[in-house]
Amino acid sequence: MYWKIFLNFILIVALAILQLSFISGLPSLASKFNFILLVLVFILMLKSFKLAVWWAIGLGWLLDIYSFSIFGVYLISLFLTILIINFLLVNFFTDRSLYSFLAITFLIFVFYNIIFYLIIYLIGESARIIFSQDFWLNFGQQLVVNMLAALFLFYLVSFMSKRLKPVFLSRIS
Amino acid sequence: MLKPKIKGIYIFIAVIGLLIFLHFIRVLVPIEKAVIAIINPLTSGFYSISSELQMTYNEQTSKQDFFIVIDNLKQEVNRLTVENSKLKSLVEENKKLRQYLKFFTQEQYDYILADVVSRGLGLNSTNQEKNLIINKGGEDGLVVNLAVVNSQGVIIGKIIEVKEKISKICLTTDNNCKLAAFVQSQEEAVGETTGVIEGELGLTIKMNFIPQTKKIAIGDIVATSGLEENIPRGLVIGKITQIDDSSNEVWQSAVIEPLINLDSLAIVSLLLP
Repeated sequence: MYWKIFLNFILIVALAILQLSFISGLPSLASKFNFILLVLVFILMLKSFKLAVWWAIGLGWLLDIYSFSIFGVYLISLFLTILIINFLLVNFFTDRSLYSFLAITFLIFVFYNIIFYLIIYLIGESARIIFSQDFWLNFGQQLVVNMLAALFLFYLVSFMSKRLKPVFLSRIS
Repeated sequence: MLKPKIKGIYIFIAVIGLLIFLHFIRVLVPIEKAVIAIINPLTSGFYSISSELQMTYNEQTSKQDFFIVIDNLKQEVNRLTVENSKLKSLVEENKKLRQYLKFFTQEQYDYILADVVSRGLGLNSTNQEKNLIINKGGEDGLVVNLAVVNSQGVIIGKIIEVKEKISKICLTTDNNCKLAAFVQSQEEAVGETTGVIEGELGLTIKMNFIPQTKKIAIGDIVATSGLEENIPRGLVIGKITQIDDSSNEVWQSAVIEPLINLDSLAIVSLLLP
């Protein structure tokens, strides 16, 4: 139990460092990778909602420490995104096919960006960002890069594990 | 009775609320500082690896332009040779004048070295904000608006926000980064031309509010004017590559190219007042 908590803590810190320092400094489109959201999608789909929320809280807290926006923006936006995505997973995307996986990846980026910039907009920090052409261009680039990454990871994981094989629910009467 | 899942969500909300509340009443600040102190060496290590990758990538993509660059550099060498001989005679003259004035003071800056730990947070959907996060903060004596230079003394930006252990730097190409500057004209009779520089789309720098009466030329060097508090005069910003002097405008503007590659900075110096 404690070993698992410790392992998760180490992995969360490692992921935050990877995103903060390594990915942010990579050239061109490679810097658009948002490993944090991709990992959260995987945890949500393959593990559990509870674990995904703990990861979102841990990662959000670490990002908030390094962020110069108001404290809590990352915590709240990651938590709310996970809540929404979990709701969609439970009610709409019940199978684990490639299509639902890609749809969820698409939606997590959409909701995360909406929530993040909405909070920043509400606290009046940078309303101009949302309305700039540059924001939408980069948002599009982020979507394309991460959807491709999700596609690659889906095939990689489904090659190694049976957890992502499509299953059909049947009613037991 | 609440469903277990709803109850779980309330627990998560309580944890998040508590983390935010404890941060604002500064109970968690020592823990946050300790976490930053532990993580910072790792982040600067990772950042230097990715900035090396960035440099390799830039070298590969710019190979095609090498021939043009070589031609330009040949012309530049010729120009600099002429300029160097002029400067040598000026150095001699200066030495003599110093001897006369017994004026041996030399400009020396106090500075702090800092490692870059992140380029923004890598999670924002905009390129216009070109920020760096460094591993030195208020506890190291840093304050807002200090000049940040590279190893050659070229100004790369200024501090815009400071926390206890980390600080945020806006690069000169950042849209929100403004600096008071002047043009070091190649023609001696022109006199000093001052203006304000600001970043443009995270790629170049623009100098605005240059009076139409002032004559500037492509190739002129732009440096800080020293009109801002904490930013000394004469720190080189870049070189003018384009001039917009439409006669129907009150002011003229110039596009400035930074002298260094701002994407490959891993260590920076902060000039203390």
